[in-house]
Amino acid sequence: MNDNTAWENIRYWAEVLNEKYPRTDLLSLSDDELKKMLLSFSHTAELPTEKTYYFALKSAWAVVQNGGDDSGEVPDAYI
Amino acid sequence: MSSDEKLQKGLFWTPRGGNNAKDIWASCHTFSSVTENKQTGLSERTTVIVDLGQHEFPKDFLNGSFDKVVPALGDCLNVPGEKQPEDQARAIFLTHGHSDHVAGIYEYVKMGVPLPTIYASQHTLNALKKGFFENGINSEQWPEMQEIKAGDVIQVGDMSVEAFSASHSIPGCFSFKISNEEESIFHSGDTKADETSYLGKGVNLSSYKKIGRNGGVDLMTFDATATHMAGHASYESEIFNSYRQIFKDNTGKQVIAALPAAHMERLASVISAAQAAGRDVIIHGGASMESNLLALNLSGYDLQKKCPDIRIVSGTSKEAETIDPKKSVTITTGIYREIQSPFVQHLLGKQSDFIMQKDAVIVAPTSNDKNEKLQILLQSKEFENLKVITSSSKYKIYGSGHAQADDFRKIARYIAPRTVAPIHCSSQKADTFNELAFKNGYKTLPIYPHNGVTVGIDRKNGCRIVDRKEPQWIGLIHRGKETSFQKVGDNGYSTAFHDQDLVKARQQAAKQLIADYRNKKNLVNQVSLINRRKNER
Repeated sequence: MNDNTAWENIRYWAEVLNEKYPRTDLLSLSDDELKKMLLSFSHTAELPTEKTYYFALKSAWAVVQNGGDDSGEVPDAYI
Repeated sequence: MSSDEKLQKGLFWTPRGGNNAKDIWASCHTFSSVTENKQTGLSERTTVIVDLGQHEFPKDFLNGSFDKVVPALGDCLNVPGEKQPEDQARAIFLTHGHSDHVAGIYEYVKMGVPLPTIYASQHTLNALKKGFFENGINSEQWPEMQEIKAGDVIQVGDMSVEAFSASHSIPGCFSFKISNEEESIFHSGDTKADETSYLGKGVNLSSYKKIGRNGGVDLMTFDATATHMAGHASYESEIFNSYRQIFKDNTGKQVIAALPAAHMERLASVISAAQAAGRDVIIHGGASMESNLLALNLSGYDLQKKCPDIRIVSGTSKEAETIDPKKSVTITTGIYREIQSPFVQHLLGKQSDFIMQKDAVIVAPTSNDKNEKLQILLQSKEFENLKVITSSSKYKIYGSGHAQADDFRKIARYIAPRTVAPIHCSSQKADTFNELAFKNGYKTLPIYPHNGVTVGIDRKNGCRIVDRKEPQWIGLIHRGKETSFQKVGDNGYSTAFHDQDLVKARQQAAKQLIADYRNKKNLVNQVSLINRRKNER
């Protein structure tokens, strides 16, 4: 899974996960549960070790669940 | 570290972004120390960068010619196509993880610029790493990152940078005291004087006392985003109490709390109030809000663990269906009428899975007219049974993560600066800040230190403007994995301030329009009157 940390792959995995595990509660999904989900796909190889990878993957999955990325809608500067 | 016989000794601060003519974007500052090498007698210079943000509204810059716009730092970073700088920055310190303070880093990495070590809190580094993933930057390209905690002092050449816990809208925020042997600057970052937090730590004012007791600082660069507002920025404890009261006053009704997705402190305060009131929490504010909660978990702020008596579930999950809306609070977005907010989508009749009962209580805190956009949506007859609580109600529900006038007074009293200067603001807010500082007995600079102005400090002369350069920017265009970039001038974005003229021109135009309209109406009225009289005859 060497290049799977690239964003395109994270988005790919988010789509695939959402299809197989629709309406998953991402807020309570542990990294271990997510790893098990990833390993359920036959084409999954080695899993990344970086914790932020799973954070990024869950965030990407949240984008898929919510039907779009709203991150640019309100500028951070005034918050 | 570079050597130069001509350099004057002292500590120097140059805002490179964030101190704009209007709006706030791309916060970035360089600090340099010039000292004399006692052995060679030559001047030696050490430079660090504090924050490296990107323009949050690139479409507003140079007619939207670029996808991204970042401060041009070719004088201290090795930018391809530019002369290698003599004075290379030796470290980057990040005050916090908001995009206007960190997202320029991704663009510099994409340009192939080698960056020095980045020092930041764990939470900020997590946000940064997530951004690397999102920007398709593989881990081999990541710069070296080092976690620091409040109280840590990092020595960089002859400069020391001490991190202080700051209170803002997200965790892991720092103010920095930057010193050399003789001079010192306190750089507030984005901050307010709130000692309360439901994420663990607010500002640590007792650590500031230490600075004041040790003689204060020569200069304090201070967050002037909201210092034009009287009073203090709401404390999270005040917000908590208000929401707890709202929950109590509306027992048996669904409460929908609209918040800015990026205000993680507020999310924690409202969730903690829900726990106190025994209400479950449905998070249904879009991907950013969920991602921010996930970020909190990763940094060790697990709100479900902190609030074990209630359930916190995602509004897009199956679990949300098992929660009684009347005994819960739905936390969402939409106070700025963000078009992707599930709440706004629902109000527009487009979102089917957002649950809103006909007699729900809507809590919509904001301080500006953007609220009207949401109000207009809520004024529809279809929603006449909703109860809407805004900032003008008896409940204290509004508060940004930026210092207001009292916060400035409080922090300045502890830090004891000899001079103060505004950061993270527009020219207009800088003027208001200087007036506030002057009234409270602090020295200010003779001009607004907009991007490109260098302020020098030495014991003999105090603080003074030593240089004024036209700020420069780098505009980037991304096409797939290809990045092209070019250096561009400021074109008055940082240095010019024509708002007053613009306002006057708009007022003139509006007066003319009204006059024309009245003339036309009078004419029509006169014609109607003549016609009516003719008919009467």
